[in-house]
Amino acid sequence: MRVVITGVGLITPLGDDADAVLDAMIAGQRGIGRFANLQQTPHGAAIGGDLSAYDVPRRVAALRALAPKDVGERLSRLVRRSPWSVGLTLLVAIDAAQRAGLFERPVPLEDLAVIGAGNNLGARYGEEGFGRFAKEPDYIDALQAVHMLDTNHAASVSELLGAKGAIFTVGAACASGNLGLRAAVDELVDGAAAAVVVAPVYDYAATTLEALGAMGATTESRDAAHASRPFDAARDGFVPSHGAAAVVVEPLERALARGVVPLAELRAVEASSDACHRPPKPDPEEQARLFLRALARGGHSVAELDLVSAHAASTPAGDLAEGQALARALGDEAARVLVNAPKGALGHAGSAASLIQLGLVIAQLRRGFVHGTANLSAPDPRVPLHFADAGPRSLTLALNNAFGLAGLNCVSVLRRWDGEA
Amino acid sequence: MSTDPVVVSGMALHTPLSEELMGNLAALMAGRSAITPWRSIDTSRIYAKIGGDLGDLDLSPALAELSARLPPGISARLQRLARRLPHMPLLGLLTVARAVLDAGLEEAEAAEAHVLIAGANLSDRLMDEGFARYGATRGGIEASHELYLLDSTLAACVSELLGSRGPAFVINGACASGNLALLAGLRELRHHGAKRVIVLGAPSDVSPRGLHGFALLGALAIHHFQDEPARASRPWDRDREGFVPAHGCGVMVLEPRELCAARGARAWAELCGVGVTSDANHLTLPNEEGQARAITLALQRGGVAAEELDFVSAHATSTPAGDLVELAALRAALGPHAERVRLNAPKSLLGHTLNASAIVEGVLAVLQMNADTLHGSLNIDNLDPGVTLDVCAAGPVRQPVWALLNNAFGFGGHNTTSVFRRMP
Repeated sequence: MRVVITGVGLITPLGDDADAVLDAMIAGQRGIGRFANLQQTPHGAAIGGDLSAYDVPRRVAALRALAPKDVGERLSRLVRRSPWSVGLTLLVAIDAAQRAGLFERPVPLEDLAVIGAGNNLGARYGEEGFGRFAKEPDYIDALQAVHMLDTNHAASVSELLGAKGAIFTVGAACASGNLGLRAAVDELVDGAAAAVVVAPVYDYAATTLEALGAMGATTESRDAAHASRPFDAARDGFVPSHGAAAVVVEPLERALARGVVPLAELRAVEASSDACHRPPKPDPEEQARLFLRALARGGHSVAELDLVSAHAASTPAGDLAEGQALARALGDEAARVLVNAPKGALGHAGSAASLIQLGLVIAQLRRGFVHGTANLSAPDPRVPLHFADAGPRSLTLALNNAFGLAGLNCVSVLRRWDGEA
Repeated sequence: MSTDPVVVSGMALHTPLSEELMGNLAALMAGRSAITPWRSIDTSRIYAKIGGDLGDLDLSPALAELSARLPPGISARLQRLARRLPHMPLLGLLTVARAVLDAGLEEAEAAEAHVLIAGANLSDRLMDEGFARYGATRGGIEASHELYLLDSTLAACVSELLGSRGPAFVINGACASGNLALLAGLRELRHHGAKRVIVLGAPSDVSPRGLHGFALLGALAIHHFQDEPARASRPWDRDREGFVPAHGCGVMVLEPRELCAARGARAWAELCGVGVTSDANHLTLPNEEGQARAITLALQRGGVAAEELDFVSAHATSTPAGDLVELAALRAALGPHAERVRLNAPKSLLGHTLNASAIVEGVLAVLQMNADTLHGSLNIDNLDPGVTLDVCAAGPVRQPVWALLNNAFGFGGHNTTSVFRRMP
């Protein structure tokens, strides 16, 4: 079955439209500042890509205007009653659904699946609740038992869209976004008409940032614009960021039958693990095997690949492993295949990162224009890859990488939609 | 895409009743309840006082015993992991080890497994303890805190235990997580070339705050029978009030029938199909129509006619609304045949093992099928007059079972059921 992506919605610190975010990245902007809703912790990153000040009511109003009346009313009601992170989930979901034409040319709601991607999402909501519980247990959020669950994101989207098909949530740390796509393809193969995959914002708590800092995973830099530097020799850890994304996937035939023009074709999604949970030990050999397996499953070879949107979060060990894995898998083609890493500009949005990245890959494929990698001024000499400068390129096939903490890997392969059914 | 039938080639359970499959079955048949006052959870500031408790269990005897029986590589990795892991994830890992033994997997066979963790938000207590330490001192958060808070790390740990490089991930849908993982397991075998799949219905390390959240929602039994904990979980009884949470976990090993037969292993049952639907409602309102659709879908996918069913392992959590909605859904989906199936409520004995429940109860349902006996539903002193199906209210019943349904419905409109068939 050929599977296509027909709608993308995202919210990042550089904007809430994939093309606008790509424009900002091409113009050299960075989305990194400070988390307005968190205090600096002793060991945690001092900087971050913040969305806590994102203007939710403005966005609700804008998207409500495009949606059917009942859906718009549910959007407004659900956003007002839900935790902050669920509000952003609802916004990216309705955006993706609207762009996929699901309101004007609907699929049967009993065949519309909703898949959440990411776990342990609500840490800051939990931290606030714990503070209230410590003072007076009866004054916690009366709906905490619902609002604390990761599954509440998919369930809220299901209510928003009236979707009555399958519903579930998958997670593999920072590979969750791609993993959600993999589950969506399975759902389509087993009969769903379309699936909305949503990767919610990872709502970092102070304890999350402190633990990541103590682990040595995040940057010690205070230079917001220059701290995230994937593949650069001077990188020292990732910059945590907010971000959320949603995509609509459906069988090509059904999209065409609905009269919808696909944004891109999803050729393959493949997953693996390193069989070793203690970081930082990403395994370049396992990653290289995975790249080749994903290309092969999509019916492609390295010779057809034009672009790799790297996971590269700006960590010393992770970027090195991925770079070595790419060099190994690409072989002689490594001098030709373009590589870039959006986390230089956007920071690392955790479980949502690979779905945000997917939206940007699609924008690049459609425009025939790649972004560069922010702050990559002196590439790590151990990573012999062709790092892209921003500019127009002929692009057909792209690889979108994601590697999660504890050795959980998932990559997707995307092809530009050229109207060839 | 493979269409070979999928069998359950290994199972394991660890509940407050027993750490052995047959020990659990015997306890259920004897009508023993797993529910006691919480010992491992400080309940001084909350309404919830009782549950099924494994939080204070010493795991070292089980670790030693299993390590002696496992293939050497898996044994060495289990001991290494045991030094690192918090209590509940280790309980899960030990149960995976038991399932490896039950399935008779050799080292190389275990290393071919894809790994699925059923359940999320598993480590509430660890998270809250971190909040408490950090709140008091602005410190005390170790490097490993975030690593072991992430549910996906449990997937990575199981992969490490098995030495498997296959896909490993978490799948969840609140209390329906186990059936969702069985669905994902079928897909790993049929769409992703897996030779076998290990599904861990993961234990939930509930915190006082988490329990209090359930209580404030009105979902728990907190008023009646608190001084007689064994009587508090009472599905279908007139005086039921809400569910009783419990620790516990279960594992199923899934394998294509031919591969299982080729290595000379026993198959416990065939996993025929899983149905999943949404109510399009994020709250906690059980819905007959959505549940009936899930049942119909599972039967259709599994190629099983409603008339073939003998037994339904019910979700029945002991909530006033939910227990009756489920019966109405069964009537809607099965038609007149609903009158001819028997149901029972494992939660009347075990309490609600939350994320793990659909795997734990699936394992128990398969054990009952193989024993030709169904356990009774405990604590039905006065059958709710709305209950008009046979719910095994009087105790264990001899019943040959050829096909069964394993229902699980989760918060947020997650409706699931899995269909199992007896091996010929």
